[in-house]
Amino acid sequence: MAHDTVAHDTVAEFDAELHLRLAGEGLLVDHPGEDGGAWESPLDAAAHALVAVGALPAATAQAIVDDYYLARSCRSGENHGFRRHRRMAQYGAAGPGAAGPADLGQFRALTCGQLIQQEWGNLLVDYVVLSADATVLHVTMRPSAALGGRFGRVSPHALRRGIRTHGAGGQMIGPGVPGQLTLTDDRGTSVTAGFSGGGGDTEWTGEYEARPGLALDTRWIEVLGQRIELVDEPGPGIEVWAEPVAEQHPGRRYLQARLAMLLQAHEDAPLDTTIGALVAAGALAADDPAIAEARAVARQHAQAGSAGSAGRRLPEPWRSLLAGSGRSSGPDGRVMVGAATPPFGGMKVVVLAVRSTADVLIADVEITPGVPHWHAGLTVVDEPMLIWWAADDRGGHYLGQPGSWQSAPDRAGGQVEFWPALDPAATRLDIMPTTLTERAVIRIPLSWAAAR
Amino acid sequence: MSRPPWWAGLAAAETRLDCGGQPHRLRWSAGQLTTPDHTEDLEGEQILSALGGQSYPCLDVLDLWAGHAADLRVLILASRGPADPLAAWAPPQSGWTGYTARGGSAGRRGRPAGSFAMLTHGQPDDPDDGLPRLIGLGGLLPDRLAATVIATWAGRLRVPAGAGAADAGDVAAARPALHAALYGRAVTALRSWAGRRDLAVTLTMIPEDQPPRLARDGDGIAAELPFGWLADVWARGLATCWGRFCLAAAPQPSGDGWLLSTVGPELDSPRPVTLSAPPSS
Repeated sequence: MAHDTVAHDTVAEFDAELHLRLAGEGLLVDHPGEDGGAWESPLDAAAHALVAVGALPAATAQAIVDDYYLARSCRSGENHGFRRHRRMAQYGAAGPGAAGPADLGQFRALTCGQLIQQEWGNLLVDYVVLSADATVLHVTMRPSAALGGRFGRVSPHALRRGIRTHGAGGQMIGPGVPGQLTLTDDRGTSVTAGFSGGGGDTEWTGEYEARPGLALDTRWIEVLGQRIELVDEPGPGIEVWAEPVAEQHPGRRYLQARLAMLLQAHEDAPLDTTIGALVAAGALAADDPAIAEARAVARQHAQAGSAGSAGRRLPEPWRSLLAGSGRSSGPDGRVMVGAATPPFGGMKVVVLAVRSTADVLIADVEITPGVPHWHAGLTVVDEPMLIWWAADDRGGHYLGQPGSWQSAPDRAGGQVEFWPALDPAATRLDIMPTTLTERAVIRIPLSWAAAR
Repeated sequence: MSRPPWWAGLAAAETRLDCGGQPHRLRWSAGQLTTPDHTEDLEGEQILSALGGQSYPCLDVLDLWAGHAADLRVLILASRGPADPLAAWAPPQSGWTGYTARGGSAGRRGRPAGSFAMLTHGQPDDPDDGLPRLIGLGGLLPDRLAATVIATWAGRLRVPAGAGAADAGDVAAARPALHAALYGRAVTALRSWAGRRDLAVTLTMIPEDQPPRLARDGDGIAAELPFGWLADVWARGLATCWGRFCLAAAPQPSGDGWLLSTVGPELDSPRPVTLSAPPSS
């Protein structure tokens, strides 16, 4: 870990290292102790930008960032060791820049929608996710008429915690839903899956997870005496492909990606830090039009809802994105998708379903490898960027961010919440998970089924 | 005029450590860190401690100090001046029995040959190589360690072209770190001097043989200083003197005081200020 000096191959690399170190000095000498609430520090933002455009090796940048956080610990007594721990979990001992390509093959996520009726109520298996080490059933449970259509009282304490039990198979928990299920695959292997999730009187949602799981390529799973056929086919009319991002200029495409991330976070300050780093590294000219455009987008986004002219005079996708702010006329319904992308940008995504309400558009997704929730910020200098764009067939654009989200080093998944609400006249939606260099497109005809 | 020893003007510093159950002194004076409560045969004591499986923190600190005497990471962790106090070091809570001195890091370049045998106490995977322990020693010792590192690198920068070719690559590679170390300390000193925490400062690190200067830059200050300013001025606590900012310091030709080149708040032309007695008294 000891980091002393590095040789510089180019003047730009020298400038990049100096820029990053001066950002670190700023962390210590500019109003020390007053930035504790900031979502993302200028040091993190600068390091990520410099690494992303190839101005600094990731290991060099990470060592500098670590040293400055250690320096901050020496002043505040606050322990910033969590950063190192997270990095070790993500990359192992080798550290950033040394991670090899993820094994994207060990992963299946399938739309299911199978209803299993029980005495206590209905178990709807929405999705099945199989990976090398786990099998997960995403489920919705509703009480039977025999229970009066209600599960009964659930203690507020239990609701706050969700419910998790470790009893014998079939054990009933909480208001009467099974705490565990036995799952069997086409090899005859059986595993026990425990429930985690929560709900109320009329509905529970959550996951039954078994570790280790069933055979990754099993053709079916048996649950509560019923067989669930696993078909790796997307819904009708759904198309999937991967392609390079349109913007080829490294500095501009990084700025656009960061701008999208920052709009989601409602944070403006890191934008200037990002621009400063890109200019210092020579990745963007100081007068590049992309800089003025990014600032205009950020400014209009900050004013959205008060000016009534959001998005005007901006190029797409920003114009329709900001113009749709405040829309609350989205259609009500759900489309089962079950489409897996080819590998793109070192990732693979499965979109399981898309749901729309008046106020929000949600995609249920699974990703490999794991992508942390955006709240985690840029704690690793080469944190992968994944921007959730979407576009409809009426020229509207949408931007998504993880809401309910679970993440592990090899896999992540949950709900991506898009804004603005879906245009009610849209008949087709492209979900476009986008990395810095490539994106996938999942084209979905919007044939709505009732969401409930 | 020849330069004085880099430690001239730096007062002796001392702190105490619990060493084998005894309160031992660590003393820095005239550029050297010593352990007055140990015998002259430090290497022998260290071998005995290793054979007996016993840790002697005093001896380990000596080894760590030697290993970090040219480590630019010291300048990242150490204080930027009186306005930048450090917290007391607290050992990690679990599995920590001391601190680690490991070989092989770039930071050990300045370690004198034939110093102590390498000892490892505590976590073998300590990623910080004991540096936080040194920075948290207290008693002005961290400042003296920073002064040691500053002096080492100022000396390398002042080697005439061609006379130290072996170090030229290292110096070039270190320039961003040297510049940043100068920036953080100059900015802190200038803000304290101006009484403005938000004073905007742009800093140019100039060659060692060029004259330093301060100039107005909008509402802020543009400073042009060599890295050696840290060794000659900042480390000696001379950055501000009687309300003036010190650009350079040199011993009086008579050897009984210091001659400072200073500017006032109006950033007018530099004026000399004479200190009639060495600041170390």
